[in-house]
Amino acid sequence: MKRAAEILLLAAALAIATWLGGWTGVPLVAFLWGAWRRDDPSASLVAGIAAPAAWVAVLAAAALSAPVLAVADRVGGLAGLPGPLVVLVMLVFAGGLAWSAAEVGSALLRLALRGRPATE
Amino acid sequence: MLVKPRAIIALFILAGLCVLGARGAAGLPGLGGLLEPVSGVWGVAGTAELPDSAAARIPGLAGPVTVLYDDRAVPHIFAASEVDAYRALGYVVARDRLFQLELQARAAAGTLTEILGPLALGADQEMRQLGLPAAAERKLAALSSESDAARFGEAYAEGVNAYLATLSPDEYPIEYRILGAAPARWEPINSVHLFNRMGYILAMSSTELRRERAAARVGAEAAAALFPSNSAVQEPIQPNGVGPPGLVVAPLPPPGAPDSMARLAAAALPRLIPTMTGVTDEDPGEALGSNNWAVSPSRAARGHALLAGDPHLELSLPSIWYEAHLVVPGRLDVYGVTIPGAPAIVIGFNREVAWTFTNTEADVLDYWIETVDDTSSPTAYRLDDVWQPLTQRVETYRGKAGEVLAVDTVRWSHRGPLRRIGDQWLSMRWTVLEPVVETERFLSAARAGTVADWMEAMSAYRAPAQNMLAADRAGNIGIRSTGWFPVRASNGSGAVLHDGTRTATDWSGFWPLDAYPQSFNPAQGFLASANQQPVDPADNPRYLGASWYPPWRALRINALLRADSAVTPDEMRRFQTDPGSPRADAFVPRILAIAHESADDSVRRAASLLAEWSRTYMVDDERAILFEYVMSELAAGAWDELEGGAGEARGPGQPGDLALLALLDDSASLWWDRAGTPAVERRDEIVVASLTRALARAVADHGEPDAGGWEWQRVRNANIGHLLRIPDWSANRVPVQGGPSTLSPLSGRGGFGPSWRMVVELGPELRAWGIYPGGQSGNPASTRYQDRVHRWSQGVLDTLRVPAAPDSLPGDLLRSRLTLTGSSR
Repeated sequence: MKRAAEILLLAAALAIATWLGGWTGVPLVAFLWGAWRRDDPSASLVAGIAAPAAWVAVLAAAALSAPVLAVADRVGGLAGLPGPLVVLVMLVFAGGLAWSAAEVGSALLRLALRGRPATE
Repeated sequence: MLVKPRAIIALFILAGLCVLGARGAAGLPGLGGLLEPVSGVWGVAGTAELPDSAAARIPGLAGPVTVLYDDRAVPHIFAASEVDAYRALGYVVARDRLFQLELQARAAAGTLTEILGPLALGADQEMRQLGLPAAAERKLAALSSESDAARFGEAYAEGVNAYLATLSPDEYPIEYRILGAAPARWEPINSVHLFNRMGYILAMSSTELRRERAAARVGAEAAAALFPSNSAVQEPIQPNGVGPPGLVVAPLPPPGAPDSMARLAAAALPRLIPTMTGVTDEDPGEALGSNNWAVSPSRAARGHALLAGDPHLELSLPSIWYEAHLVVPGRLDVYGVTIPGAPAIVIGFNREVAWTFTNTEADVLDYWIETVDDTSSPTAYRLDDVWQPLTQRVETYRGKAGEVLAVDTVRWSHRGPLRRIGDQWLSMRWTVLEPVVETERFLSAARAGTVADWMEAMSAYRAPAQNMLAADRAGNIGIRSTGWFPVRASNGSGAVLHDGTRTATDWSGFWPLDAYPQSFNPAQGFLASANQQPVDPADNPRYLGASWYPPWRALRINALLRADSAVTPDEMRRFQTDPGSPRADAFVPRILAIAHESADDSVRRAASLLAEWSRTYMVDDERAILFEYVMSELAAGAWDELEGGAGEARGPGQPGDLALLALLDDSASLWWDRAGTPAVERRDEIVVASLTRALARAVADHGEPDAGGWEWQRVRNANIGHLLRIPDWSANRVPVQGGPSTLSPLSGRGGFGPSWRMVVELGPELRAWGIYPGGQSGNPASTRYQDRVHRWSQGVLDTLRVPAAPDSLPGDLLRSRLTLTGSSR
C-alpha cells in the first residue's frame, strides 16, 4: 500500500515536472527522488514505474478528446513501427530515464555522504 | 566498492537516453521532445479533427465571418466584404495546410534549405538561378497597393498569421516536429512565389532539347520530322471545321549525317531548360495530361451548358489543391479549388459561370548567347556595340540554424537571368518572370456573370499560358489559349539560340488578344482541350510552340463528344476516366496485320493474346501490359539510331507515337535497319521480334497470361506521395483506370494524375461535382487526410455543396462551425 502511494505521488510529481519542464523534468525529479531515498533499494524501481505511469496517464487524458493513436500510427510509420509500439517506446523511454536517474542520484549522494546516516 | 556496478550501468543508460532524448537518431529528432505527452508530437492530435464549433480572432477583420464546414470538410466562408472573405480563407487554409503552405512557398522562393538543410540546396539553387524569387520581388513591387491582389494578399497573410498565433509549439504540424523547425510568418510575397512555382511546374519544354539531340545524331531534317513543331494529326483546340482527322502521317525522311551545330545546343540546353527535375525524378512530359471540355445546351441532355475539367499535376498528400467556397452577398459567390497560399479560387465556378484550365504548352522561353567582358566573372554584356552593365544579385543559402551554406551571384541582362554553359553565357527571357501578378485576374474572374465577362477578366493574364475554358448559365461556352505569346524576330521560332549582341533579336512584343487560339459557341456544340496543338497551322501558321502533347486524348474526347448529342453530367464524369485508347486503336491492327504473316508459334501466340485485347485500360484488364511491352520493344527496335553509345552524349530519347505510326506504314524505311548489324533488317522482322520479346518479358515479369499477374492494376498504379516523401504517409499503389494516352493517363511511376476532377451543370439550379486525390486536412493523423483517395481512384465525383447563405446548408451536412471576429491590430 505504501509502495502504491509512493508510486502515485511520484507519478504526480513527474507529470507536473513534465508539464513544467518537458521530458528533462523526468530525470531531474527521479534523480532527486533517488537521492532522497538512497537507502531504499527499490527507490529506482519505483521511479521506473512511476514515470511511464505519469506519461501514460497524461496521454490517456489527451486520447479522450483527440486521435492520439492515429498520431502514434503516423509517428511509427516514420520508422516502420506499428503505432502501439511507439507508445511502448515512449513508456520505456520514460521508465528508463527515471530508473537510471534515480539510480544515479542514489549512488551519487551515497558517494557524497559516505559515512553519514541517510535521512528518512 | 564505492559505487555499485548497477549505478555505473545506470549512468551509461541515463547518458544514452539523454542523448537520444535531446538529439534523436535514425533521422528522427530528439525522442524526448517528440514523445513526451504534454508538449510532444501528440499535440497534433488536438488539431487533427474539426471541433463542432470554434471561435477565433483575426486582427483587421471588419466584421464577423461565419465558416461552416460541410460533410466533406469544405469550408463555406460567409463574410460581409471580399477582403474579410480572403482574410478568413487564409485562416482556414492555414488551419488545414500550414506545413504545405510554407514548404511550397519555400520551394518557389529557393529557401528550402532553411527548414530541410543542405539536401535541398540543389533545388534552391535551381529556383534562384532561374530568377524566380527575384521575379517575385519585382512583381510584388510593381503591384499597386490599391489593387485587389495587394489588398487581398495582405488580408490573406493576416489570416494565416492569425492562425499561426493561436498555435502552441506542441500544436505545430507534425512535419515541423520531425524537422525540428517552427512555422515562419506568412508574407504576401509567398503568394507570388506560389504562382511562380506553378509557372515553373508547367514549363516543360523538352522538345527543343530532344530535337537538338536528334539533329546531333541524324541531322536536322530527320530530327525535325521526328520531333516536329506541328502535330501530324490535327484535332486542335480551336475547331478547324474539318471534322475527325484521319491517322495518316507523312513518311519520315531517312537518318542523315550528324549536325555539329546541334551538338552545341544539345550540350547547353539541359542546363537551361526549367524542368521538374528539381522536384521529381519522373519525366512529367510522359505523365501530365490535363483535359477540359464544355458542351453547349444544344448537345446536353437537360439543355444546360456543361463543363468538365481535370488538370493533371504531380500527385501529393496533402493535395496541391484545397477546396473552398467564399460568399459575400451581392459581390462574390465562388466555389472551387485554391492553391494553398494563393488568395484566389483558381478553378471553379460561381452561380453563373464555371471555368477550368489545361496547360497551353506554348513556347514562352528563349535563350540568347551573350558576349560578356569576362567569361569567369562578367560585369557587362555587349549590346548593339555598347557594353551594358549586368545586374548582379548575390544569393545566400542558409541552413536550419541560419548558417551560410552557399553563395551564388546571379547576373541579369535586360532579357533575364544568365547562366554559364562552358565558356559561354546564355541569358533567358521567360514570361513567368515578367513583372505581372496573376492573382488579380482570378479575383476579377470569380465575379464574372458570363463567359464573355470571364474571358475579359482573364484577358490580361500572362503566364503560365493556359487553355482557358468557360461555360455560363445562359448557355455560352468558350475557350481561349491565354498568355503572353512572344513576337520574335528572325524566323519567328523560339527553338533556336539567339544572338545576344543585337536588340534586333529581342522579342518585339506579344500576340494581340484576337490572335490567340480561341473559339466561342462553335457550331459543333462542344469545345475540348487536352494539351494538343491549339490551332491548326492551316488556319494560323504563326509559331506558338513545338511541345504539343500527342493528340490521342484530344482525339478520344472529341470522338466521345461527337458521338453523343445528349450529354449528361454523369457521362462527363465517365469520360474523365474513359479507358479507351485511340493509340491502341491505331497500332494494334497494324501490328496484327504484320504478325498475321508469321508462322512462328511464339509470334502467333503473342498476336493471339494481343488480338483478344479490348484496347481499354481497365484495372482488371489482362492484355494492356502486353501491348505496352510490344510498343516499348517496337520503339527500341525502330529508334536504335538515336541511342547514345557508351561514352557518347545522351540521345534524344524516343520520338512520339505518331512518328512510329508513320514508320509502321512505311515497310521500306531505312529506320527499320538496325545500326551496327551487317544484315539489313526490315519492318516485319522488327515487328514480329517485338511481339515475341514482349511476350517473353510479360511472362518473365508477371507470369503466364490469365494467371492474374497481368492485371493492369498490378502493373500500373497511382502513387500519391507525402510532401516529404514519407512512405507511411503516402497513398501508394492505388489502382486506377487508365493508361498511356487515355483521358486519364497513367505515367510510369504513377506520380502524376488528375489533381482535381470537376463537372458543372449550369442550369437554373447549379449542380456541381468534384474530387481530388487526398483530403482537406494536411494532418496525417486526421481522418480527412486522404479520405477521398479511394473514391477518386474509382472515378467517383462527390456532390459539391454550394449553400448561398449559412442557413442553406442542411443541418445533417454541417460538421463544424468556426466564428471569426476582429480584434485590434
